[in-house]
Amino acid sequence: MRTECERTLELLASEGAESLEKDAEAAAHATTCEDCRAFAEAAGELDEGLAALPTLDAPDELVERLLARSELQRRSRLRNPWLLSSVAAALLILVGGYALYAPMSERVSGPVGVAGSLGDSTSKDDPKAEADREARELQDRLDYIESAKRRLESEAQGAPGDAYYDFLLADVDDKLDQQASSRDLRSREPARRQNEIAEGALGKDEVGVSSGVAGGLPAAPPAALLARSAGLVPTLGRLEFLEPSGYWANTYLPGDPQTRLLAARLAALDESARFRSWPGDLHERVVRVDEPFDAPESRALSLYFDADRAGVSEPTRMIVQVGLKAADRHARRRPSMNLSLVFDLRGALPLETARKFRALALAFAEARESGDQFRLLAPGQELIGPDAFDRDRLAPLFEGSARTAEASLGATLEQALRAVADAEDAEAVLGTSGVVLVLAQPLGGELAVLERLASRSAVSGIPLSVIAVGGTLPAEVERIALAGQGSRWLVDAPADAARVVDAELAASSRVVARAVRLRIRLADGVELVNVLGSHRLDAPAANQVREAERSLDERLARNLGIEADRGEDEDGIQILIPALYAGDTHVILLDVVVPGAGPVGDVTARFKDIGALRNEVARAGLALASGELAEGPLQTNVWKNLLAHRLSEALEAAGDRLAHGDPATAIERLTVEREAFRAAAADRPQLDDADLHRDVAMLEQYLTLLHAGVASDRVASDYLATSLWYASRIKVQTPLALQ
Amino acid sequence: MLEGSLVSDAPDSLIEENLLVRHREGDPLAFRALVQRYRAPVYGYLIRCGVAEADRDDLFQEIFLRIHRAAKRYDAERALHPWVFTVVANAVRTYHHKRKVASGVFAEVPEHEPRDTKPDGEHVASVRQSLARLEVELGRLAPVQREVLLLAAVENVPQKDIAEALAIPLNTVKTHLRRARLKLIHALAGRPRRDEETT
Repeated sequence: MRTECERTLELLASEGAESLEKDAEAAAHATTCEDCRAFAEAAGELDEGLAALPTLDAPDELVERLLARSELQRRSRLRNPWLLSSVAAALLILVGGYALYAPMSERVSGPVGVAGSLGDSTSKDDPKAEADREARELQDRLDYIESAKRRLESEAQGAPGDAYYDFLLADVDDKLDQQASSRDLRSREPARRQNEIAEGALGKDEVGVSSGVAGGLPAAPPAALLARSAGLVPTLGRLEFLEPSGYWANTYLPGDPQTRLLAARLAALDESARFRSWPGDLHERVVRVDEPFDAPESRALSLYFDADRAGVSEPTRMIVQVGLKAADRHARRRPSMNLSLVFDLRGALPLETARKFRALALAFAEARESGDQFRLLAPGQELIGPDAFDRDRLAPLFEGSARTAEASLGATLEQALRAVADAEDAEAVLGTSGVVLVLAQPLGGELAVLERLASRSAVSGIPLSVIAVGGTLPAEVERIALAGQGSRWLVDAPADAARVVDAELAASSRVVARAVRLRIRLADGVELVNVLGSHRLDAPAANQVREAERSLDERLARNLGIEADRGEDEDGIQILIPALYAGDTHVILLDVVVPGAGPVGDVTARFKDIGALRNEVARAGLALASGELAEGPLQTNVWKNLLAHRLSEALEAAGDRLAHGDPATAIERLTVEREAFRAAAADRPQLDDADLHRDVAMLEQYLTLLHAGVASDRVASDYLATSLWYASRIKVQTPLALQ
Repeated sequence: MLEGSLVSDAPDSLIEENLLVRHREGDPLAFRALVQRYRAPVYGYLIRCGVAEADRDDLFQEIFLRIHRAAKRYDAERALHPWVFTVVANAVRTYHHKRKVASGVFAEVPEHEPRDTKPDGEHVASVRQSLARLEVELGRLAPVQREVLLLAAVENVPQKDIAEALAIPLNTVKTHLRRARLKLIHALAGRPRRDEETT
């Protein structure tokens, strides 16, 4: 049986303090029972408190973002289901169709996509039949759009005054006018059109590209050349959109052995002194974009999200840019390190290579500090353990020509990992244990095994870095370093060893943020054409990234007390950057199509702040105003990065063509790029600055040499190709990679 | 700053229902007004239900975008307020479920820092009358008790609507509510709780 206290308490709990007013018996009890009186007072306090809880309002900027997103969602809804498949799609078709069917005079002056998406519209087999077929298709499209327009008008009647309908209808009308004009014009000039088709249109003669003729550079190449492949203004065209989700390849890597290798080759070739008499400074002229990002003051990184323009008034293809800037902190004194060095000393090594290995080993010995545990392994054996890792014991190992047995490098790497893991202090800071793999020869079938081991190593919290000795394996170095979340270096001469070792050992103390997870989310209606320089990872690679992130997360929770907060995929494009270094910048460019003014998307960077020892989130959003607005410095910066990306690709491609004995195509590629840069400067005065002039001057220097026929000499051609490749990489590398 | 509320002098309930209907019918201002009306209650609910700061903004937007999308399915016969909080409560539940799964699979670290449940006498004495103490005690409630109490006592959602929103029997709602209040009364009275209340 319940006591009176229990009954009173139940009453207070179920119905609140006011219930006593309706229950005289309980009220009377509460006046005599000290406990129940206290409970009644507490119940009253609770009721009052619940009613008076403070308002916890959402920040205004959050509400603004929400309203902007909802507006875009509303627009998408208006377009769906039929509008999306007719009007929006039709607009794309129209623009693409416009480029395809417009007469030559219009076509050559119109812009094309950055990715060169303008297709070649001609059919070479039966020009007349092809022209008839195109005419029918064009009429079908016109009918289709007319039909869509009628439906749009019908829906617009249900939403009088809605500006969005006005915008759509006006736009459709414009496009229909253009399309109809194009049709009429074509019908008036059938002969010319057919001739163009028969001749393959846009042939090389027409665009004025001369092939390797000295001094034959056109002062002002025809607009067709620009229109076909150099247009800097991204437009709608025949586009295939990518799913803006999943894991994408990280393009931020500290250290770049390929660049150092190229620099070493150039220096070696230059020793002959024949190239010093060449006019110009070629690759020495290249400068990278000076990113205008402010370093963060109170946390490890700042995040920027910008577009190449501030406002739009119609569906537009454009470049958006995600920028990262790491805090510019001074490096701390490095912690004690637990390292396994694995030297691939198999086979008969050339004396010069052996000297580089020796220099590296001695450099590690010189850099060793109290508390460090270094060990050296070679295939089949541990050469030197932590207790004996000093100069006196290391030096004799590299005297003479006798080298290690032909054992498996994979097995040795496993042994090295075990040794590090066994000696590891579970409380040590992430990055203080590691494996450094030093390679001098191609790996062949062993590459896949080493990649897997490197990934496993990274997942278990032990990053694996790679040092290339000599210069034949940068691609392999990059793959292993990527999988191992480590750095990559090149020792091309014994003198490089100390610098590389210092940089590798200092790396852990230069990290300001780890496990940087970028999530780029495009707003509804914004389509992704490409993430420049990156690619979407397949399922196994994505799993590898997930595992690596989880490992970092757990490790940092265990060792630094930063709460583990990872493990779940997010919507949007996800890119994991394992470590970001002090003072560094990184830029990711996305080629997108926006439906009009409004939100473009948002970016989130979740990261482990190594300085503050906590999880941090940086956010940035991007929305476009309506109409054509003046560009500011951030928009200009996007253009500059796009130009840098294009220039880098063009230089690399030209170098490739030269290496394949095809100077004519190299000339064409560089000419296109030079004219694209000139056009960019003319079109956008804010780009017409000293940096752009330097780039153009560099291109002219290369072209002058190529037109003079220097590439007919094999050594000179090698030099030029190397110079082009070197300039290509320098143009887009991060500052740290250049150290 | 956002523009102020667009509501007039009409009764709140009528205005709210009209807002969603107007939004559904294409009134571009109706949804803005709806957000203005619910931004604080929803945001406060997320905070008090323990949604992590890093996720709060995303969830807040997601909730309203769900409402935005679901407007066409809204039954105009049904009161708007409980309908909105049905969406909110379910979004929060899904969020916690995902966090729990992720925490169980991926991390050994507990999802939330364990709180000291032992009252500090001196501290309790100093803040006993304050709302801060009530906020603290709210955070210590079991999640289901907290959500029922917040919905019922703070957001004034009828108990039958809470039962529907959370897909639990009405009597279970009452039980959770009673237990939640009992815990808080004990806490505010500075008395230890009985074992039966630690559901």
